[in-house]
Amino acid sequence: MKEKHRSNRTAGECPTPEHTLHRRMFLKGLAGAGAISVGSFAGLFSTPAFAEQAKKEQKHCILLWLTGAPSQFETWDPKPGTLSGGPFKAMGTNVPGVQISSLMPKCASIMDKLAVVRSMSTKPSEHAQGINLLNRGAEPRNPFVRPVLGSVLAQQLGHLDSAIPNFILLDPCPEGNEFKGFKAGNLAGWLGAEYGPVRAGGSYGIPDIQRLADMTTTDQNDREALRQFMVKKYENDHKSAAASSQNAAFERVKGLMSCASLFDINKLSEADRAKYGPGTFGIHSLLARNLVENGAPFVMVANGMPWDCHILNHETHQMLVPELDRVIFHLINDLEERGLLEKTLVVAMGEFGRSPWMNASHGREHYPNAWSLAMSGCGIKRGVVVGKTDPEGYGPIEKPFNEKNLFATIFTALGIDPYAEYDLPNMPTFHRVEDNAPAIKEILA
Amino acid sequence: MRPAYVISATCTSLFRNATLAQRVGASLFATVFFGVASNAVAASLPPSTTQPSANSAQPMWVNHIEPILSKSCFKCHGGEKQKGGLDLRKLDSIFAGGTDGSVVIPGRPGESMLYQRLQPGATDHMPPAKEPQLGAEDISLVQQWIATLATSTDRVASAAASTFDQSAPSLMEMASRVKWEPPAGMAASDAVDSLIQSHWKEQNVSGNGICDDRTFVRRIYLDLAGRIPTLEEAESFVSSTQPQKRSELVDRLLAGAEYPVHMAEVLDVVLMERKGKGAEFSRKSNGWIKYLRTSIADGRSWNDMVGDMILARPKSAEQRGAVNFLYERRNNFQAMAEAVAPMAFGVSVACAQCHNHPMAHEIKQQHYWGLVSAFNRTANVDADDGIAVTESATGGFVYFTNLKKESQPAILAFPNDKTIAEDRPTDGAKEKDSPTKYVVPPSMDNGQALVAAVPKFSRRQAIADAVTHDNPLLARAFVNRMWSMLLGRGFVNPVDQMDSKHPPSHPELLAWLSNDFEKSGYDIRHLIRTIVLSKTYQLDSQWKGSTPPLPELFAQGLEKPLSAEVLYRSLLVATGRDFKNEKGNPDTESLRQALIVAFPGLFDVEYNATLQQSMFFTNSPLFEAMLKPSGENLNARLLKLPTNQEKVKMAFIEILGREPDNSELAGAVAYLDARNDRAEAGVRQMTWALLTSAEFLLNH
Repeated sequence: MKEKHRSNRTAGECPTPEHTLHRRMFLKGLAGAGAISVGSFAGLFSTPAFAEQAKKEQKHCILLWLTGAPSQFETWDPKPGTLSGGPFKAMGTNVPGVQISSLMPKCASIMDKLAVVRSMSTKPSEHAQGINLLNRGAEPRNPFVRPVLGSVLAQQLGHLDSAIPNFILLDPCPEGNEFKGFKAGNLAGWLGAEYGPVRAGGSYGIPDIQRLADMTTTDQNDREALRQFMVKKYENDHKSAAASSQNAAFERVKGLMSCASLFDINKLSEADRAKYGPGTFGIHSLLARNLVENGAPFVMVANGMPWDCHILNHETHQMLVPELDRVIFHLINDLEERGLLEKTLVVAMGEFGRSPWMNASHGREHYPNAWSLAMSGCGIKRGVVVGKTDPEGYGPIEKPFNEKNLFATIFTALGIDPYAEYDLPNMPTFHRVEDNAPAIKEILA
Repeated sequence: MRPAYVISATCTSLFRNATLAQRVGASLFATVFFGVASNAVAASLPPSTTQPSANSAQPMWVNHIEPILSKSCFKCHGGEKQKGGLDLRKLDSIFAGGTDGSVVIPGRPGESMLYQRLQPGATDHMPPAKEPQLGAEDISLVQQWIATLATSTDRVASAAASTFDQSAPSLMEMASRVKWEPPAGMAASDAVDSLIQSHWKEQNVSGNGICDDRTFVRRIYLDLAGRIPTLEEAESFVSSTQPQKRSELVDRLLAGAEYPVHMAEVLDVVLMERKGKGAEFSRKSNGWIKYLRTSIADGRSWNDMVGDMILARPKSAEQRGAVNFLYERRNNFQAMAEAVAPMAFGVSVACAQCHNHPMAHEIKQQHYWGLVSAFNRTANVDADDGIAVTESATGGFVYFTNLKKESQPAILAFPNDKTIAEDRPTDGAKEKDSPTKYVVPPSMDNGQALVAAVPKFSRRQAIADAVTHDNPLLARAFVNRMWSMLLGRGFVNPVDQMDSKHPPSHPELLAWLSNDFEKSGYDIRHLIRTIVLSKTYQLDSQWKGSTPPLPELFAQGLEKPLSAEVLYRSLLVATGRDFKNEKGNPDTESLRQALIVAFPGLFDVEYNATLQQSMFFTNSPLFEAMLKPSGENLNARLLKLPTNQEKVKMAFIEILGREPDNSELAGAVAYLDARNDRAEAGVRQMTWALLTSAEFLLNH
């Protein structure tokens, strides 16, 4: 059967999601996945001092996921005056010698808090594969489904018994072409459904989040305990992966109900709303800030798939980049003011970059060969740019980095062993980052 | 001539991201593209703003690389000699590499032998020292060119240029490769088992035995009646001593009134997708649901039904609803093409809109635009007597553009190797529409069509014929779909990707079942009967060993999630509602709608329970209402029982169709005993727990 699976690997490259197959194999993995977790915190929370300490040490990550892939030329790696450059100028920043696009004046003023990588170089050039690669950190190997960054961090930084969800995906636009397919796929992979995301966003709140009018906590706890009891026989007899998946979903209900108000955009302050702007991406970045402040380990903010500028690249970036500029600026400053930046890693990136050349529709095509991303916060050196592309941005001429280097960097910055083995029964040996790929040490604090 | 067709078709292909198109603004969009709306739209688009060499790999190849290689390399790697098995004259032979393997790795000049060997001082440096050497500029151009090959555009453009692409076997060739017939005299269902079980042997797996009667009666009711059996139905089946009782029950359910309702729901989601309440309403009022139900109930053959939907010219009042298949797609020809392909050929073609399918080479861009052309003379008509779709006798000659910016005419070519000949006006010639070109000529009032015109040459008729006659792919697609519905997984999975990249798990069985389905006159009941009477369908779903076998071995009954509608009706049955007369009850109708929102999936590739579903069960007042004791419903009856032991036993048998085991009984009784202070709350929590258990929520 192994041969058969291998032949499916190429099929996985087709844009249609085929993150498939055989969760049954992971049945035991649900328990086994705990092998690299930090252990249960349940005991700790019974002592207030410990709970306080745990909260102080809690690390967080906010991923500003720029679906569709923004242009490096109109953001972090401007090439003014070249054929690749486009109409926008470069501007100086508060770090001497570093220039970024003039569409990002606010970020230019806090460049000393940011780290920019200009030499990302990856392989897939289609969204579905790119989105998966940059969220999972490795090429697919069917039928095994590698968990996305959010799930890994939920497991590593979060606590299964915490009220606030460990992996929150804020995405006001439920649509989004290939991104829609990604969202519908199996994000938690071999870690199991309990590490999957809670999705919310925009005008669609979280339905059925309020407790029934005549329901007491006791009765609710009782019925859930009874449900788990009644499911056991079936789950054992059938080695049922579906039952495990349902159990995981039920286990998360209570926690989510207790923090319903954190997802309510009507409860955001007017002053904050004004700073982050009227766009849904800004509003949800603001929600992310509040969620992190309240203990959420990982929040991913996306907004459909707006960055895919095959048509009128410059015009579209002229609309989108200023919002990104404003959001990063306020998010970093707010986290710093609250003393959270030290403990919160912020990453802003898409699934690849955009081509140095323009197509016939004044758009830029997909371009994985040389692109940029930005980070700030926990474990990251400030005011540094690493990597260099050639004068027209066709390829990296210095220090190319791929998805594995990136994931090693993220894990290291958050104090997580990047090369730990997954100890999963009936599965090949996987590592958090494969091939011992080195982290981008130039940007690690 | 209807230039609007050309615009809509081509522009959509340029706008890969429709939301972006809207964002940029329809008016700007129109000024950019409207002015060049001719037959060869894309070919005459304004040229790129950057230099041609940077535009894509293609001009670079033509302008720089081919000349460099021609001058310095062809002597030994092209023409007379192909040293090292390497031919550098053409893109496809370059990508094929030499005896030492690949020479070009797109996007990775540093790792590409073609570039490495050119470097000064390289091992086995090329060209050899005695030959004229390349200049630094030429070497850098080769580097640049290989780097640009990393982008999709160029890679796909290169793939399109490769001969491999052209020689890929077609879907029809692949479908006809495998043939199998059971030994004479073997019953159809036994033939299924013989192939499944011989595969077990090959894989060294011993499969399960068949399930007990209680499991079977629940499974078959869920699959054919779309609900769990009532207690009486289950008991009468289990207690029957008839040796043929399983096949008798199957026949009774297939002849019953619930089977067409259930199948219509399945086909509706498969063919139309779930599109919300509005669509559900219009599908009812347009007669679509009734069409599906009546056709299933009357046992119409599947190929006739497919013909009804594609042709959309109803011959009787019962067929009128079939028009909705095209009508609901509101003159969106690409949506029509994308909906027809899985039904008619078992494949999704959306990938082939902008280029030949990148992985499954047999699905070509010309098939996509061929399917679009089959429908692009179609337009919705709101006739006096209901919905209709007209067809023009002229226009709809689309050109499509590949990623190399080459434009070609779309002809009526379909993925099943069929091409329909059609006269094509020369470019720029004005085509005259005239009543003589019609069987039923168009009748217009203020630009509004009043009747559905029927041209003498009808493209829809052409594709309907091409799909419903001599098209083995039609039967294969439906057989795979039904197998997936009944067994929990298709021979090909995902079900609508029956292409070269997704070979079937059981090619002989798929071939034979499809052939048998076709020979039966596309008789859906015959197909279902063959499958469900097999031992394979009736296998026990429990697995005694440690690791369950791979699902594609079909060595145990696979778990199947209940669809929203099946779950809805099963909830009504389990909670003791009058499930046959719930129509029009606003409370239960709201529950049904809410279930559709929480459980939209059908034929999902992979099962994932969602938090939304558990939130629904936990906090939805609609679900909670089912638990309220009232009249003779389940909880009311449970509360009348004298002992907690009796309550537990009855709840188990009514909801799960089985007795509790000792530990389940003890546990549940202990809970009810502790809750004797509030007996109703106790019973409610218990039935809630049973209704939300995996055993209830799955068909197994």
